[in-house]
Amino acid sequence: MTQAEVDDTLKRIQEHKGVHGFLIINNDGIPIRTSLDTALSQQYAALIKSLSDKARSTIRDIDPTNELVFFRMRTKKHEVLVAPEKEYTMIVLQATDVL
Amino acid sequence: MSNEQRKAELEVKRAKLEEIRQKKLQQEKLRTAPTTPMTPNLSSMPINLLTTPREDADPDRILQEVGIRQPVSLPASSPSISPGSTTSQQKRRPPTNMALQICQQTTATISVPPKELVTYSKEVQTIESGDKDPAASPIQHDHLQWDDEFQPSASGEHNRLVYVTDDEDTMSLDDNTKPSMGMSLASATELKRTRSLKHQNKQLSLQGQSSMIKQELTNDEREHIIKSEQFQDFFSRSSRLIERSLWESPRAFDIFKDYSGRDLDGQNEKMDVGEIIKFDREFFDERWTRHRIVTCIDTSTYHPELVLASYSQNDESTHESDGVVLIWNTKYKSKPTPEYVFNCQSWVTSCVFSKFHPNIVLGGTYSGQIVVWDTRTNKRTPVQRTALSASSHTHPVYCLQVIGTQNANNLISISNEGKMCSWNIEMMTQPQESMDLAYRTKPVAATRMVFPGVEVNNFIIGSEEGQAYSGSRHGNKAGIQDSYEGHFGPITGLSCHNVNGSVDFSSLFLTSSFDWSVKLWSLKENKPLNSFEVNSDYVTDVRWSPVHPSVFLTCDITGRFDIWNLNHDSELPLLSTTLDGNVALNKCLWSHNGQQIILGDDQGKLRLYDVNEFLTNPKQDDFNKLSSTLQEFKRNTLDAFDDNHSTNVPTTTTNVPTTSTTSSTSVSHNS
Repeated sequence: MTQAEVDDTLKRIQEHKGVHGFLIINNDGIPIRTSLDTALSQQYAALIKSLSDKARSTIRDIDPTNELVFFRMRTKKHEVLVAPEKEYTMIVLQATDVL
Repeated sequence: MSNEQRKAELEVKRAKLEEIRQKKLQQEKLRTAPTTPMTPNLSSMPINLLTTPREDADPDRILQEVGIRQPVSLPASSPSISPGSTTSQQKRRPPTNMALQICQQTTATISVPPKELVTYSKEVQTIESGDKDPAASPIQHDHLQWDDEFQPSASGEHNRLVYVTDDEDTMSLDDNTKPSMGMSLASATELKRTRSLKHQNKQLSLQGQSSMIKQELTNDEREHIIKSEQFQDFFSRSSRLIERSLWESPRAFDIFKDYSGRDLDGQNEKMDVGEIIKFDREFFDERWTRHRIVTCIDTSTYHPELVLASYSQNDESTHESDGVVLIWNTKYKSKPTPEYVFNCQSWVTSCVFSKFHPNIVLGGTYSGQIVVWDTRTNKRTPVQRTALSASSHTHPVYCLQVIGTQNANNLISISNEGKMCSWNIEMMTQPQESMDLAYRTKPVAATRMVFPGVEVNNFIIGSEEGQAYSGSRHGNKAGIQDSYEGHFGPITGLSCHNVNGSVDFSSLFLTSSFDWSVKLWSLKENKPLNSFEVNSDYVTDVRWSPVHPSVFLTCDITGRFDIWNLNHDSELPLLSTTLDGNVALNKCLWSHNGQQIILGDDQGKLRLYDVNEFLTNPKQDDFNKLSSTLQEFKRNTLDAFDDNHSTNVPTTTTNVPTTSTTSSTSVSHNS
């Protein structure tokens, strides 16, 4: 994928119905690409990173052969989709009252 | 004070001391009573230090003479003498209640840290180089650093251990890797940058655990990260996950509705009994399929929900690659984007999933090359390509098929020049064997090829001249054996009967051609069993249903597609539908379970239709009915033969005018 295709895909994700924004962070919790403002990005980055690490270690503790692949948090106001990986994590916020 | 003055004073003092001594001696003589507890220290005295003063001597006066002033006289309660002070006088306490003059002094505190004792343990003094747990606070290694940025990728190609010396300027890379100089320099700077970042991060984390202050990345660093292969890998995986879940979210919301008695969605809708097909969805991608013709469709045996489609080149835009192959996913109902996009240099004329490798996609191109894509890699370009040489194809590869079994499989390809090659998918540099197809010394320009059923040796070929041929790859008579003459135009579609049932119809095959007709053949006869001539334009494809013995599908260039049921009527299709707009259908396919049909048109769209149940669940007597239908055909042929005294194929009824969405109600032949 080229840079343009990455941009395309991100644009597509962002323009999806109800998506508030997205955020891609690296292992240290530093935002690489984000469509939210800086302060919110930092906040989400730090908080979700620690939550994601905790979730991953939880799964690992329960079953060492298992691993966390994806999780979503449904809240009253919106839904947070998190795709954690070894080096980077992708976070998308989606509104729940779209329909 | 000058020296002489000092000396004079000293003389005076000495004189006085003499007097005191004498007085004391006299007093001692007088008193025989208990002596004073205090014994004066009359040893040699330094000049500034006074001995215990006598009771009647005024210590003040003496001290004043010496030059030490007593500022204030304090009550003689508890004298406080600060330790280590050198300015206040230390006096022995006289027994009398003399007012103690204790002055308050400011003390200067000097703190000397304890002397550090450096010890060395007796074990080996090397720095450990175990795996770093990224979650814990990392130990700072100055000599060995396993950089996170260079973690091994999925295929394990990029294993590197970078040794960094203290001065950070000289680096040596492991022998296992062979990076180019440019890349090593870039990676060196990357390493430096990440190291410095890590240092900063460590310091921050040491200072405050829950610190929200994270280092910002500069734009350059961001760009660099985004361009890195790690990121691309990650991005293609996670963006797929995110897109799928985004598109599925609306349905997930249903579980949160809090009113009861909600109706089922339309997803479980059954079709009406009278409705034979129902439009399901269409696959179209603005970027990749616009202005391209669908050249081939295939469905995967491993994942029945995946549909593979290859497209011709895009004449409108020259900067897009010529060859496009997309894999669509029918499972996610709303996701409009393809699962995988593959490119190659020349446009793809035929494509197929590898039946025995779940991740391999094969494509034959217009240039004669056969390309192999792998869905495991994140590349869009082929992982393997055949060479453009005389031993392989130099004309468009119009047909590909994977034959054989799991352990011994081959890819058979056929090109327009009449060459049939067999390949080993793992090694595509040259064909395992190649054969020039010729019928009576005339090369066959093949457009279609089918291996009936699970055959590996015998095949059927459709040619540009209109004849169909049967042949075998090996054996005594390798090559073309029989020809089936009947069509007047190039054969566009060829399909072998492939339904397992009580009666074996595997010798039946259908052909469609530019001569507006579809013909039914048996391998044993040189003449067609029957001809279906309801079309009024080029018929572009024909397919037997994989589950029902007497059902097949045709499509033509006017956008019309027909579903035939030979048990119902052998003269007219069961259903004939013409698509709106100026579309021409190029390819059609049944899904593996026979429940869906997929149509590809010349505008890059794939349309999927659900097929009614009665066409997917054959009944037992369907097979028998077909047998009798075939008998009927035979009788017709013989009659026509007798009537006409010619070897031409008997033509049947006149053309039926094409209407939209009619279902045939004519009386069945065989009742």
